[in-house]
Amino acid sequence: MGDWPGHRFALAFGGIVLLVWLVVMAVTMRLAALPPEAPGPLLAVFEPGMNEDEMFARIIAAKGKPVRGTALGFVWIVQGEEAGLAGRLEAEGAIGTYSELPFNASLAGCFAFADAKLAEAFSVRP
Amino acid sequence: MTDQSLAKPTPWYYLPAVIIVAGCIVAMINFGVRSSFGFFTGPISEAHGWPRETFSLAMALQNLLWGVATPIAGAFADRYGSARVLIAGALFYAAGTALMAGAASPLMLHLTGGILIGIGIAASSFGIVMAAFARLVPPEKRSWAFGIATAAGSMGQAIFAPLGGVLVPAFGWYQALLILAACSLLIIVFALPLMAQNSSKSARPAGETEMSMRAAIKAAFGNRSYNLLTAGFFVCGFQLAFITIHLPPFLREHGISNEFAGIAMSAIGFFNVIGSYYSGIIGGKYAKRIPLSIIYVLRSAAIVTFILLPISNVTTLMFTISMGLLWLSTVPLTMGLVTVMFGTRYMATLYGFVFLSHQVGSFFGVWLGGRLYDQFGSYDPVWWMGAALGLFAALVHLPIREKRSDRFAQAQPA
Repeated sequence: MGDWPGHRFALAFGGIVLLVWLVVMAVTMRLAALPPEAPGPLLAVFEPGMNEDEMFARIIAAKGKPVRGTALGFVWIVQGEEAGLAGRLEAEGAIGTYSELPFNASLAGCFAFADAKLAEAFSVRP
Repeated sequence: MTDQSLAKPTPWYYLPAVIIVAGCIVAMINFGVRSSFGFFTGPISEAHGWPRETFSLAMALQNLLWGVATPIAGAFADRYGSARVLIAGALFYAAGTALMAGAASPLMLHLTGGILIGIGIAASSFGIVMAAFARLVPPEKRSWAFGIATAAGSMGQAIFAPLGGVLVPAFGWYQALLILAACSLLIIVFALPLMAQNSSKSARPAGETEMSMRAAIKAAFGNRSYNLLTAGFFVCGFQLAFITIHLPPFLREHGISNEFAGIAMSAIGFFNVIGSYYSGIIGGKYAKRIPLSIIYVLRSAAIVTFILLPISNVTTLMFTISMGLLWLSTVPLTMGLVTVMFGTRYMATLYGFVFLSHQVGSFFGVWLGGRLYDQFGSYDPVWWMGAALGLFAALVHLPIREKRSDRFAQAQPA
């Protein structure tokens, strides 16, 4: 047998695993996004840094009821029984909508933001 | 022509780096898939109209079987080689997970999600992987290999748990379970390079004495150091299981938000990877019982500091980071001590019994956590119990004789 690997190998292996995980998570997150016709309750992810009042107003404009914010300020739990809430929220500027459970709000926020930025980066629109 | 030039080159799948990567991926999948099952409690219970207790009992059975089946799986691994046992374990794991999706009655759920998966986890666990590593890796690299395998298991837990949470809404719980079953089948592919250690008929490694398995188990239980190690690992199981199950409600009770509790629990997973890896390195450089004692003292110190200070986001995060660093860092050192005392021939079996004690500790950690909370209306008695047990574990590791047990040492020629 050849030489046994060491710390650099362990670090590289860990890095590759994380990279593969990020790709798989990103793909799965996209699949987990709610269809436009979905009603609440749901997690709505807005652009990080958006003003709280503005997010509140957009949720109301989408005919949703803001239940509460989460640890990440730009992720809101939104109630609303009328079909199409997810689509209306996206039309009002939400970058992603996800089923409330068993999702972790922080996870939804991070991946929806990354997904939106990637989509923007590779967009063919001028 | 020399013998060397006639020797066949090592196939790529038996190269050291391939063996380590394959073993680590097995550990990752084994630990990862089971860490996702919590996400199925709600969906499965609601779909069948079962109380949550039904699913909880299946998971409790799974943990019990995991503990009980580990020494048995270890015995098979010592007899027939780790790779074969890992492959059998993967089949049990995948069958249990897939059949759990179709379980139409509580009994079926308990048989599949509880018993089949429990056996599968035991037979494809990192203990079996580490037994293969111990036989393949040179002694000076052994502790590092235990460390990286444990770290990989921890990483599996950290990466599969959020993935499981996304799979359920993305595909629905039924298909998500089938995807996880397919993931556990991957263990078969990654077990193949470990065929390099195919100790069919339990060949006696060089320098180890001739002894039957039964005699080895008897001799180990007659060894004071082994019993002390087993007693210490009970504490590890007690502390970890108590924290895993009861820390989130404890945090909620003290006004910590669910989201922050989730972040804090993830910190355990992340820092566990670092702690496990470094514990393997430390175990390769110093006497293993000393860092093991220090780990238990530090756990007790972390628990006492946490419960004496006012609970806040900062103290919660400090606690979970500290516990993460100390979480599975006991494993490479404990496994290393088993190898030092008894050699590699029966190590999977003998580690299996030590691990059984860990699982008994887990049971008591979870059960007493709930029982004493109901009695006293507070988790404080169990926190103090955990801290006291940590000191007990620190003390019992100190007298361990870190050398080959007399019965297992090969007689030297006169």
